[in-house]
Amino acid sequence: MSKSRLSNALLSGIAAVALISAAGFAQAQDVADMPRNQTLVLTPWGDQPAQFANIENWNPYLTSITKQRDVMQFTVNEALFYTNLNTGELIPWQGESFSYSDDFMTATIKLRDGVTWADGTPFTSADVKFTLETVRNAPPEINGAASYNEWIASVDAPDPLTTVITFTKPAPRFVRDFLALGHENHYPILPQHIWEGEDIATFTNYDPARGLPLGTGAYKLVSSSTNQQIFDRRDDWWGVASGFQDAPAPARVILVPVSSDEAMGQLHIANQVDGGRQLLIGTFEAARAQNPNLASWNTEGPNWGAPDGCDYSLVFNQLKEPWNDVNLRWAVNSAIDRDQLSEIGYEGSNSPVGFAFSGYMAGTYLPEGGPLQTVIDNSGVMNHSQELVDQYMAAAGFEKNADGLWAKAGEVLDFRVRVPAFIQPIQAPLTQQLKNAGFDAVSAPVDDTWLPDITSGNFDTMVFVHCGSLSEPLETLQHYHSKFSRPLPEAVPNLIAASRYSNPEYDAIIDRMDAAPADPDPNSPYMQDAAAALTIALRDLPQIDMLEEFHVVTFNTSYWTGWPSAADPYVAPYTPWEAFNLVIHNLQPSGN
Amino acid sequence: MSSAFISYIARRLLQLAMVLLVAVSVNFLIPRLLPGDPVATALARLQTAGGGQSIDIAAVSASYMAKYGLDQPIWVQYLNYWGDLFRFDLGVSFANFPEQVTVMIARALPWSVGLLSAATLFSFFVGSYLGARLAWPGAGRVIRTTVPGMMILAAVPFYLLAIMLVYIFAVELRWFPPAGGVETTRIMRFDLATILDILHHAVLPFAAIALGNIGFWALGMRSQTVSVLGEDYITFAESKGLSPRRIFFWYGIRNAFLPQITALALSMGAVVSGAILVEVIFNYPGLGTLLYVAIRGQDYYVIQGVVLVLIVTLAVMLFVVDLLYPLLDPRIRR
Repeated sequence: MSKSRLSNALLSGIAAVALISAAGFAQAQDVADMPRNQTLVLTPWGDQPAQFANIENWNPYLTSITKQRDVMQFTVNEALFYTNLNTGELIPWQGESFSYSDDFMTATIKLRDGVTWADGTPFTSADVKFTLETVRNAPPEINGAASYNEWIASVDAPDPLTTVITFTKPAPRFVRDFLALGHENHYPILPQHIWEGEDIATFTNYDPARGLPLGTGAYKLVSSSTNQQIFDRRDDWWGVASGFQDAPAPARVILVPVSSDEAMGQLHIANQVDGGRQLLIGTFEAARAQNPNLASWNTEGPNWGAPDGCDYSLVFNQLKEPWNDVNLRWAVNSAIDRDQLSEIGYEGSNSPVGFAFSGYMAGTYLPEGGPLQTVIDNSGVMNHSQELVDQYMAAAGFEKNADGLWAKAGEVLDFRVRVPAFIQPIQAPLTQQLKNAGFDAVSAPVDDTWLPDITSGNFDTMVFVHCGSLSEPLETLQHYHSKFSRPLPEAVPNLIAASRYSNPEYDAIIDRMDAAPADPDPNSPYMQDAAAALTIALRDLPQIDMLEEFHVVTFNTSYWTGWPSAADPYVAPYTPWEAFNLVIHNLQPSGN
Repeated sequence: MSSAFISYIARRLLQLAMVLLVAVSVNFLIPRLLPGDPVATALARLQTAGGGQSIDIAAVSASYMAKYGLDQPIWVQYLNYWGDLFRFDLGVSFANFPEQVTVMIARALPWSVGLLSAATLFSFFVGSYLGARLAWPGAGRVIRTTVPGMMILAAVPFYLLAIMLVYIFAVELRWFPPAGGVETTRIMRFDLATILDILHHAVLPFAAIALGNIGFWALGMRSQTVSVLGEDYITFAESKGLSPRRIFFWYGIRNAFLPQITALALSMGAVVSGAILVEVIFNYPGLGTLLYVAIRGQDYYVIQGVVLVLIVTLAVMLFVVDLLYPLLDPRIRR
């Protein structure tokens, strides 16, 4: 056999085996071809094993199945309301309006007339009631079950377009957090006529013959395989029939898996994807050099990306000596040069911050000179100097030993800089800054022990993400409420609130804020409470917020334009967030 | 079949059983010796990623631990594990609950087997042939210049070769797709276009593995061939007037081949593990990528399942080689 014939035979073998694999799982045989310029190709957020799992399970409420955040939220499913986090604007969709009672014990949701499920069944308040009650009564593995059980007392549907939710306690944020979707809140309304009688914990919601998964969205699932999930536009979408909206421009949406940053960059260069997983800044700039049609939130670097509501934070375990000493925490803060961390760790792409209020609040709650920004400015949290380190360490009872390391009673203070892998770039510069300030700092191995340890409190300090305020200050401030604190080694209920800080005075302020609606008026009681809570948080410094996280969300304009950007901020640009459905409806063909 | 040969096979079978027993036991124990609750860890990771915002991790973890028997004493779990193995049940993926690990592996395996077996066998035969030709008197200039180059490439890790190939042939020249098993918009059908698309996507990962291996095989075969060149049977064959081609294939390669076959079996494990990053770089939907993502996500059952498949594959291949040996060299039967 010649070499070429041998080579052909072997390559044919690969193809045959791959086809055998695909044959068992692909349902795509009957799907018609679609030109690339009518097809929107996206990937999920985050890494996937290059093959989709659970291809026959489309249950949007199972915690471990991410289809609602990967693709369902902008294809099959829709939301009652969306929120543009850039402005706080509420965008009615399946719903038309909502109102609260004066005591915030009930919310009345008015639905839009003319909304129908994909099978033509009207979308009514009975569906809303069914969904809220089903999730409330569901086992813990159902997303939202614990929250709905905490907040919802009863749900009524007095007429097909009206739903009245009665709460167990004042709930001025319930609609925003669970029904007016903008961020990672995946709570779609379910069709009662499909889900009734099914177990929400085991129902797969997949039956192509019955049209499942069934939603009100503008797309229907036509193929679910390990390599692709294909959705075709529905000509009978209610939005067109009712005159609410034109049909979205992409005739087809395909979701494909991607396993790494490098692979995503390559797919962008080859115009094989239009958006989805973010790129690291270096990958983005390299890919953009090859494909100038790639764009991100901003048109210039190094700060290309958009805020995602998180920052990188150094968490102190408040229940461990000597880290419960506020002077020690302030000494550490004074050793940190945030600008340098950004430059060295992230090529200047992530901005220094003093507190975990995201950029989405800048225009409303965080204007220059406003009460919150004033508290941050006056706190001195952004100051760094060796002189301050020396003062605070002296106040904490430490002095430098002969090696120039901080020690107390002859014992050197160990400082292991622990970080999860996804924040590793910050580790080396942070460790060096601490060393320079006299701390005996070492970079800890980057492994996965941080997850169980931060949960159980088996740490002194830990660098972690601090995801907080997207809509109002309370979202971050509440993380220091003692309701999230637990004695060691009991697990904390919320990883983002892992400092175990406890302060009754602080709790009282947060409780007041929690019972009242948010109000950005600088003179409102809400803002006065927010400023008071922030003052305490920055005084006691349970954790040090360092850099705001800006993901380089990347969109390809080769085939589609109309992506959100800083110049056109009609919605936050993250594909896994519910409001990405607005992006799908805003896209237009580029003409290629 | 002689009693000695039957005894030989029985001994090898016993060795295989022992290897599998130990491997399965170690594979069972290692994830359970790691600190932390794997279910809670998987859930916490989901929560960190934003995929499940409103869950009570402790309650869900307790529910899943009970559902899958992870709250049982370890010896009960061990017995259950063996029982499950005999039903080809490798458990569920925590990161992709309720997906069965067996299903995930079954979907990824054909892609890896197709790619790796083709690339390995191709490089084995081509490398062995080139190595033999290089050692054989009268090797042409092409052979003398190509093979050393291949030997240099053998020192380069697969993933570096993969990156170089992507840069040259996918990014700069754009001859081949940079990633994936098929075009992202390809509708998978049993037609020529799909087959050609799969082949087109396989070329670069195939080349990365093959180029990194050919030199290795050539080097080994060259040494073996040099050693047989001075053997009496070669001189005898030449004196009989046999054609150089016949002497090369039937007296040279055949006798030098035996150690190569052993090395082939042993190398399968290294090839599979070495190809993990190749699959990741090419976003290729095989076992390597599955294992890579499972390790990053601490998806213990998936890691355990993939490693088990690799161990069993290697053990069975070594067993097969053991069976082949006596056929190739009758002295081994004695």
